[in-house]
Amino acid sequence: MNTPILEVNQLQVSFKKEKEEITVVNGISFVVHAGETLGIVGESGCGKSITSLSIMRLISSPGRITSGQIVYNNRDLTQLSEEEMRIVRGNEISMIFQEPMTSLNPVFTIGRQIDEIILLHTCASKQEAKEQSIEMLKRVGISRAEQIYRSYPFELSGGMRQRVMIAIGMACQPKLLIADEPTTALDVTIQLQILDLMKKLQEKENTAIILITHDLGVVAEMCDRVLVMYAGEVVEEAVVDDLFHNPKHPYTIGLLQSMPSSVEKKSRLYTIKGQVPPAGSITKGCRFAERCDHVIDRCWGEEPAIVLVGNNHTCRCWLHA
Amino acid sequence: MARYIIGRVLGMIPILMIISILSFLFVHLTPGDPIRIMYGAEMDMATYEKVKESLGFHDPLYVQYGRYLQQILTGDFGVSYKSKTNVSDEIGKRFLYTLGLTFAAMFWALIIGLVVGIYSAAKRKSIWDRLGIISTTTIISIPEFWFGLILMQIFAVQLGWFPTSGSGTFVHLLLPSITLGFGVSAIIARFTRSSVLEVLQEDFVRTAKAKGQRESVIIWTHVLRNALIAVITMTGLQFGFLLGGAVVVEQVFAWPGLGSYLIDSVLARDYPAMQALILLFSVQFLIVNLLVDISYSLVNPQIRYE
Ligand SMILES: Nc1ncnc2c1ncn2[C@@H]1O[C@H](COP(=O)(O)OP(=O)(O)OP(=O)(O)O)[C@@H](O)[C@H]1O
Ligand SMILES: [Mg+2]
Repeated sequence: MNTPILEVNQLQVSFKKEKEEITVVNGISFVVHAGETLGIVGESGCGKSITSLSIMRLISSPGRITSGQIVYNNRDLTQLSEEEMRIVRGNEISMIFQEPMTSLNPVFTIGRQIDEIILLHTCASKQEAKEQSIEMLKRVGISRAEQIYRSYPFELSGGMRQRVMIAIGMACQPKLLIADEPTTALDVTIQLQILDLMKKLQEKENTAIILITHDLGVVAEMCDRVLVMYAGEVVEEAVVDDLFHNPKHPYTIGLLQSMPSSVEKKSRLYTIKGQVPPAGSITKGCRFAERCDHVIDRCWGEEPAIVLVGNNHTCRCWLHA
Repeated sequence: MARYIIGRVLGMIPILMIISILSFLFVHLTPGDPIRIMYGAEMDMATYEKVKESLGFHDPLYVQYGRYLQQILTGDFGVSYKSKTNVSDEIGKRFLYTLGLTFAAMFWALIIGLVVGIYSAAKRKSIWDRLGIISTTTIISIPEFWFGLILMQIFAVQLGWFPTSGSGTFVHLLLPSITLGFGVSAIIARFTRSSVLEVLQEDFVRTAKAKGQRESVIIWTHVLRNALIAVITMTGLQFGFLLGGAVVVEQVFAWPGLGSYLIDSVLARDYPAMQALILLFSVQFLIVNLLVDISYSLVNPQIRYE
């Protein structure tokens, strides 16, 4: 449980816009241990997807990783050639996406799309790949697997397609699965089934998961540790219980307060005032300052560093420096 | 699938009826007297009336149309005023020439168009891509008769590699088919490029990359198959363009197909031949459209199943 398998170190990702480099992920560091689930939360546009795509080296131009390391298995992924990276993708680290409706190729059968990843990373024959694919479909809880194997994506519901995506993601027993909002597009009962399925597979294979979501309920349900991101930076990191019971950063506190609770019915949900600043617009001070209820003079001039505020608990805020 | 095809073929019948009426009327309502053309302007009035009588031109139009319809249903397109031979025999002789020319042209157009289009999309914004855009834009605006004459001048007259005109062997087919297919190849190339680029933005391309698939394999399988759906439709529409272009190219290279037959018969006001050819070109167009729709369903499973 405690062996780190992925170490992201001061990762910085920029997009080039009219000769200007806009940094959208700014110096992010975190560790993922074998078999654990790390949650990444934060508002839309804070850089969650860009971070996860960077790990897969799937950022396409005009975006690029400008600095930092992504160490997997003692190798810095940012230094690998495209050919070396292809062997990592889908085999050691795989990824599933938010949109199950469009993430599968509409003109190929489900079977062909699962076979593809097996044929890429193993020496299986076509027949063996087919058997493994059907086995995978059964493992992700699809009955009539043989029939689904021959179906096309449009014949399947959203939940079924996300199961297929998980089957593709897990087909080569990756050490790390990155799930970028895997349930956002699905309705609530299906969401629970999919999360449940991921948890079960994780226990069996000891796969580590990076789960990206903006649903804190999902975090509470699924994750061991959480990373809270704001405007391209990590503002707080803690073990799940700690974060929910003892949040430090005003942004985290705001997020928790704006979470709809089923127990007490407040007349209105709390909302954090203002909006995420556009990437690259803040160059000085704390990025959250203008939306913060506890802002002090110091916040405007200097950006706080991320510091340890408790056991395995870090936070980027002058109130806790 | 079979039901779909039968339905479509039955659906063609009313369209064919309308086309036959139009082609019939077109010929009968345009100025120019076929009898004088056939027998010369100097014939006396009595013979003129006799001929007119024997050709049935005295009957009301709908009777003439009924007779015409009866004839074409039995495959009889009448006798050419000019050559006095059976129009259907003449068409039979020439049909394969035009078919061969059109298909050969489409073959070049597809090969060149797809390869250039996919390659420029894969290497987008490179120097090759830019070169491709410039040359396709130029090629599209070149008229066929001019391009044909240039090819003829260079490869047939100066270098002597090919015959200037005529038919019979595969070598004869090369220059006319390249002339005819070249413009279409540029259209297909541009269209392929833009639809490949569009498909490259799709989420499933990212999924394929995340699996560890090679970029080139992604383009030639995942992307191409999806891009082809649009390209096929567009290619089918170009067939109409080719049939029209064939008329010009056949004339330039003296290719004995239906196109040069059409021009000859228009110049000679050879009504039976014109009628038959108009009908035939329309039927070809309908059949091509049907084939396009069928092949469309072959690459798009969603249509296949509905
Ligand atoms: N292709 C691109 N060109 C320029 N900027 C981009 C591009 N893709 C993303 N960005 C910027 O990067 C930032 C982070 O985007 P990202 O997709 O990682 O957000 P996110 O946290 O995943 O949001 P969401 O919850 O909506 O998925 C955003 O500000 C976005 O504007
Ligand atoms: Mg995202």
